[in-house]
Amino acid sequence: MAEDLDEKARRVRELLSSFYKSDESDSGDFDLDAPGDGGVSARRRDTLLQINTKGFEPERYMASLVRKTNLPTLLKKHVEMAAEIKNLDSDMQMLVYENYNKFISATDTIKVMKDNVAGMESNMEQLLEKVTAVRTKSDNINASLFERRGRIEELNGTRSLLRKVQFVFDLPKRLRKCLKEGDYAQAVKFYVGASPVLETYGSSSFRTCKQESEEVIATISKRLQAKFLADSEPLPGRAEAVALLQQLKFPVDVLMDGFLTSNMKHLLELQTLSHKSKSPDDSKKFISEFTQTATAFRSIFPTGESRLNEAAKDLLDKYFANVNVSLQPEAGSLSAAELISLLKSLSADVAKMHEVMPEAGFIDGAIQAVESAVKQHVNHKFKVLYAQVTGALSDIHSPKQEQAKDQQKPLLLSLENVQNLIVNGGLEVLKDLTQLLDDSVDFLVSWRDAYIDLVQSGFQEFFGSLVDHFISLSLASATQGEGSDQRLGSPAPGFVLLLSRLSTFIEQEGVPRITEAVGDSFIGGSLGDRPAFLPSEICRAFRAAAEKFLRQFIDVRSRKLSIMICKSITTPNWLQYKEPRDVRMFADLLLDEVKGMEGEVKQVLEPGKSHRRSDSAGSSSSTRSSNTTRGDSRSSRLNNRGKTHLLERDVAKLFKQRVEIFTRPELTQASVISMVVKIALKSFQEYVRLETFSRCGFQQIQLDTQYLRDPLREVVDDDNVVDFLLDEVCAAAAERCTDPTPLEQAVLEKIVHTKREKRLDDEATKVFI
Amino acid sequence: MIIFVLQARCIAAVVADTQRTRFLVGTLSLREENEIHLLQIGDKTGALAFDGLYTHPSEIWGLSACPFDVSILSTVYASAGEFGAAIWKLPERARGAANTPLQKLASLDGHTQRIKCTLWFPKGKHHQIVSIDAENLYVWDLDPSGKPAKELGRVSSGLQQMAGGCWSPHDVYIVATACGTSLKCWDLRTMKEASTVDQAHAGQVRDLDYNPKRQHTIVTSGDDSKVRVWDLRMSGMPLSELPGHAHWTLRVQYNRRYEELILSAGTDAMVNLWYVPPPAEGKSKSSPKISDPLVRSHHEHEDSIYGIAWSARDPWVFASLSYDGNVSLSFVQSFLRNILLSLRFTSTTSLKQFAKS
Repeated sequence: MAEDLDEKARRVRELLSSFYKSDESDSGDFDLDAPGDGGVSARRRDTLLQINTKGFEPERYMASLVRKTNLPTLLKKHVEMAAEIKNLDSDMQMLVYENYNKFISATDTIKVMKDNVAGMESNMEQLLEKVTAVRTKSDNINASLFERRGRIEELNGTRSLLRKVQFVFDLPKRLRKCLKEGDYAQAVKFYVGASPVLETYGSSSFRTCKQESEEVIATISKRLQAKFLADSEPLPGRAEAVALLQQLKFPVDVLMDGFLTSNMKHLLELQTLSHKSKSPDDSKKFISEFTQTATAFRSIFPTGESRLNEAAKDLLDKYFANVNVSLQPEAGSLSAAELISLLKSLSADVAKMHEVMPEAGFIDGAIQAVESAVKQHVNHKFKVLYAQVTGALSDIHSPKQEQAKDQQKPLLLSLENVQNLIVNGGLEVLKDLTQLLDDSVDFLVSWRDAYIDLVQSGFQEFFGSLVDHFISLSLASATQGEGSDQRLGSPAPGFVLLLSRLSTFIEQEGVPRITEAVGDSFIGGSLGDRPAFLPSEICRAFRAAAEKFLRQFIDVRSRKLSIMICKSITTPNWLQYKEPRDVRMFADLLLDEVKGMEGEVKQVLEPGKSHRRSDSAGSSSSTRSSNTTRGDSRSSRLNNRGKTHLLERDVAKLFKQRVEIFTRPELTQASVISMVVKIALKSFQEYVRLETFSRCGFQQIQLDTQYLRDPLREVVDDDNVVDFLLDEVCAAAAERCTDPTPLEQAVLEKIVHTKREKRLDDEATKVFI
Repeated sequence: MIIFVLQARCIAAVVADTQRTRFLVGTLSLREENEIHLLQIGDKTGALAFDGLYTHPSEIWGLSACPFDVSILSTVYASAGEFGAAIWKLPERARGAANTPLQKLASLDGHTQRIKCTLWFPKGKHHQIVSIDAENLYVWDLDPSGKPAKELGRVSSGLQQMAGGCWSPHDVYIVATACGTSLKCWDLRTMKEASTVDQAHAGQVRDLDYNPKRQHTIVTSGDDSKVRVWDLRMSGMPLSELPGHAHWTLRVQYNRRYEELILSAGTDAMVNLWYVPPPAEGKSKSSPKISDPLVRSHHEHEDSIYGIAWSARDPWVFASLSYDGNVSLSFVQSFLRNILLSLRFTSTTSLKQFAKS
């Protein structure tokens, strides 16, 4: 039975679905299925399942049924089918009934609705009419009321104005009341509220009112100012007063300025005081005052930070000006220790002040001040040192007359003096500056390298300018030397020699010692590519300078001698010269000059290598012998005319020891003196060669040279050179002589001897006097 | 290459002869007959050889060859109180005659002091000659017909002793003289001082020479042993200073063709050849870097040198004369020649290129 029910339900469902589905789609479905699966569709046509489809063929179904089933089943089927048909019939009947009922009721409803709607239309028209009427009426009302409303509004405005006017009229009274009660805030509020009216109409209608209220407000403002100015008043009260004054459009800036100026003035006084007294208490006082002022200002004028900063900047400037003054006093200099203590206190002070006002740039200012102070300090140290050295030098350069007389060896003393100055002074400066580095003040730490550089370049500059100064001095003295050639004992050449010695000293001792000291404490630094202090460069400069000075000294000295010789040669008329009786004056002068030079040289220079001298007796005899041979050769020349004697001379030259005349001078006594003497004697020879002599003239030259020979041998490092050169002079004179007959050796020696005795006597008397 | 003559002070190139390198040497002998030697570089040997010998009446202190006539020269002489200057003509050489006397063309009389030097007119054939003594400068007009020379004018230098001079090759009215310690230029039109370099040397200025290429550049030498190059327009500082010699520097001379070469000689028996590049004008020419201006020192001589002379024909040859009468012939080293030639070459080519563009 259950199966039957299922079957039935299924069929009903299918039916319903086929009813609601469109036929086409159904048939389409079918059509689609049909060609694809003929077997299925064929079977469907046969089965009961397809009974509800269009393609169902009852005949076929019947035939297949008859064919497939037996009779009982067929009968059963028949019964079933009959029952089914009956069921279907009843179902159909039921459905029809039900639908019919519904249809009937729907028809009824429509009928009712139709009746109702017909009635509504008239009602709606009525409503429309009424609404239109209402509208016209309301329009009328609006129109009639319009005029009145404007008036009411006007009246309303007037009323509020009147109220305001009333308020304004009452203002003075109220203000007074507030004044009496001390309620300034309220008063200010009232006044500020009324102020637009007073502004607008104050000149006309409310004059008195305005005046009165202004008077009151003035009082209030005065009181407020007083309140603000009163130091005893608590800070919030003062701040409030300022706020109120600000509302009253009182120029608060002026107040601010006043406040600041008075306070700053006070602070400045304190500052100057502390600067003058230099006591730490004063400076502490200053700092605390400053802090107080700053906090007070901040709380009173919360908006005036920028003004405070400005004012603080002014103060700062003055403060640092004072600091700078105390750091870099005009007169004299601070020692490193003083500087350090100052810098320390400064750093502490500034740190405090910086806490109070981080924006005012105290730290920057302080760093700047310290930097410049330290720079100044370093520069000053070097300047002082430089000034000392140059001062000492200029003292030597132009000595006072008495001084020169007092001291036996002025050059030696001054040399030692300057040498000490340079080395010890340099080391002291270094020590001083090292102290600054060791006792590192906070500010210095940040630019330690720069400081080291500063010191190094300070030395570099110091030595550089020292070389320059030396050179300029040597130039100046050179020109002076020419001008004062007449004056014997002019300090210029000796001074140049001193410079030379000094330069050598600096090169060989001063700079290495300073370098060592610098290396000990001032290592590192070098912001640039190379260190600021270059000892090798300095040494080079000084070496070159020393050589230059030495050459200059030799030049000047030998020129002086040359000029003397020149005069002695060019002045007389050699062709009409009288028989020589004595050695000429110039020889003594020459020797004096050489002696003077020797004095200078011996003071300044080291002795150097010992003289290459054979014992005096042997040398004099050799001189004599060479002289005699020369005389012989000369006489032989007279006899043999022609070029043979020249050949002879050349051959003689070949056998003579070739003397190197012009060697490179060394910085030793002997070398320098010989150099000068050699050049002078060479000049002697050249001057002689330009003249023509008579016999007596030649003899005079012979006499002079003979006289010069021994004293000059004394001072020169190599006697041979002197011999050679003096022989050359004699030979030159012989060559330029029309009748070169030499003096008798005995006469010659006698004259020279007496002259020498006389000179010794003179010297003895000079010393005695 | 040394020829022995008597003691001698002066040597001069025969400027008029451009075919051969010839030098005139005047001897200085008090007691013997003085001579003028004509020396010539042998074509085959390349060495100096005697080409002529002429007697001269007195000691020759100065000698200069006529710039336009091979056979004419002027000498400055003095002996035993006498002095003077004269123009001579070398006589036609008679074969076999060893010592031919010179033919005197004119004498420059009127000097009151010993004459230092004579200067020929620097440009072309002209009959003016300048003679300088210690205090005065004379200008003479030579009459070619043989009459005595006519004095055209004179300038007195005052107290300063004149030692030598040089007639400007650029401006024929200017003669520069070594005047005491300064260098003075005289204008021959006005007979006044034209320009001065005061304190050109610390001692007496001994010699000077005009740069052959630059109008205002003069080289001087002096008793302070230095050699200095001056621009007359900037007389405060020398353009360059050369260390010179160990004693006096007596002679200094520009090479006529290469202004970079300066020859100097002194009483230290040395002849020094200097290379002084001209001052850079405008764009810097890539001049080769020779760090030491002293190119070479010639040590051949044993006595003081009083005379030097560049060859008139070959710019690479110069002769030097020492007091003992030795004449030495020297050559500019080849490396320096190459440098100078390459400099000339590049400059001319660049000029050509410039002209083209």
